[in-house]
Amino acid sequence: MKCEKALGLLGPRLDGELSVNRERSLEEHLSSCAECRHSLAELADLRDALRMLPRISAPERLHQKIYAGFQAEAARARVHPIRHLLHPLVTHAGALAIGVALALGIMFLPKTTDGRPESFLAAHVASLKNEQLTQILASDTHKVRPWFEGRVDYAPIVVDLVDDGYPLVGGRVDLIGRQKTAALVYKWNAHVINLFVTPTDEGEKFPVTEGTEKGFNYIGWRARGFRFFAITGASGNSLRAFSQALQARLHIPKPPASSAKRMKYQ
Amino acid sequence: MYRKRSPREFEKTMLPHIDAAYRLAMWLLGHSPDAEDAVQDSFVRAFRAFDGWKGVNAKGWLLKIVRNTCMTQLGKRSRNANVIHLDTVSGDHDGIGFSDACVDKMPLAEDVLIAADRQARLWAAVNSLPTDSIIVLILREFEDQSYKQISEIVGIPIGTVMSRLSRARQQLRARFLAQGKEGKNHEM
Repeated sequence: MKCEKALGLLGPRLDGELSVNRERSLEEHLSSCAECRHSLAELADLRDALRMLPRISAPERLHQKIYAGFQAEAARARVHPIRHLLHPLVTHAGALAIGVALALGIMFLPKTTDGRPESFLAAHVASLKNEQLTQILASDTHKVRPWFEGRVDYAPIVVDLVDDGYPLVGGRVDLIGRQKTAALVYKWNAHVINLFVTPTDEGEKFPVTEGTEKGFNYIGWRARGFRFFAITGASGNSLRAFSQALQARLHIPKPPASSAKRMKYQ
Repeated sequence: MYRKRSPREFEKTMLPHIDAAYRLAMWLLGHSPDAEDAVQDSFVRAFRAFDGWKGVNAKGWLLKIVRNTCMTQLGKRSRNANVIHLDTVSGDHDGIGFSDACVDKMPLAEDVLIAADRQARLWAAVNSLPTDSIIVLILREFEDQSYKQISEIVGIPIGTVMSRLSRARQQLRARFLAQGKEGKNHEM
């Protein structure tokens, strides 16, 4: 093998991309050519230096933005099947379409009346009317969360969103169906957002529900073992932004430990 | 139509690679809001195209989308640069428009607060390489992609990956040594 050819194979050798035969003939050449050995050592040094350069990570805000965007896309992706099935139902009214739609409809319907938007709507309206919006008035999550102890039979997730423009005002306990439910109260401009947090064992497969009822916008989703249901008189867009901000804070993916992973390849 | 792949799967397979996506975008677009936008955009595209993922090398699949998004962005920049350049030829000659549209990559080195001078120089040397070279080098050295995976991401034959990588290393070596003039020193 000539040096010219050997030099071209040094990189692939370091990368472990040489065939057995080629590697063998390269080794043969290297054993007799000090110059090419020198070049290989130099190349290896360069590679090692490159691999030791610090890894930059994406800024936290980018992680959050991407996660929120993903949640929004995921929400749309989950809602779609129902929407798609409703159309053939109306236009074609095919027996099969109806059957499938009904079957899916039953699958996607909340299993208890407690989870229906109407129950939350009633609670929302009552909270505004009775002027008993909050039973505990505190913006500190460490005050609000313990307050629920003994008042509801679970420990709700309480997240402050003041940095996102939705200050936490306080909390109260509402009776939704027959269940005592933690309600968190947030403000957005002049509007009140009631966020109902209930434990659920149905995982996160439940579709995001979103809609308008009697002029109030609502959005419901599941995360971290809880069902979240937010309702407000503010616009649907601001409610969606609220839910995205909350979801971003509920789940921020950890950056991968790329340096640890890298060791395997050395 | 239903999606074959669930959002949950996307979350598990693709979201862990935000940093890798960001790194590639930074190397290609420089330290600018464009890089963040490109990464965000890439994730939206990836989610929508997720059903088309064949289930292997999630990072490579995602980086291919990031690369394409960045290349589109670079294309736009050079088109803008051309337009501005022609304008400045006929009008003022300060060239601000042109340098604006070009990639200002150097602040990157300061940003990561590299302590060692040698590392800073190496960083700068990588940054000074042509985009074609940077891509294959980054994918190989920083993201552990094989030649075959690189060929899929960049859309070039494996032989071309090999020759580009070899050229990139030669260029890097030449520039790095030219900067430091300490070629005989093999120690870190």
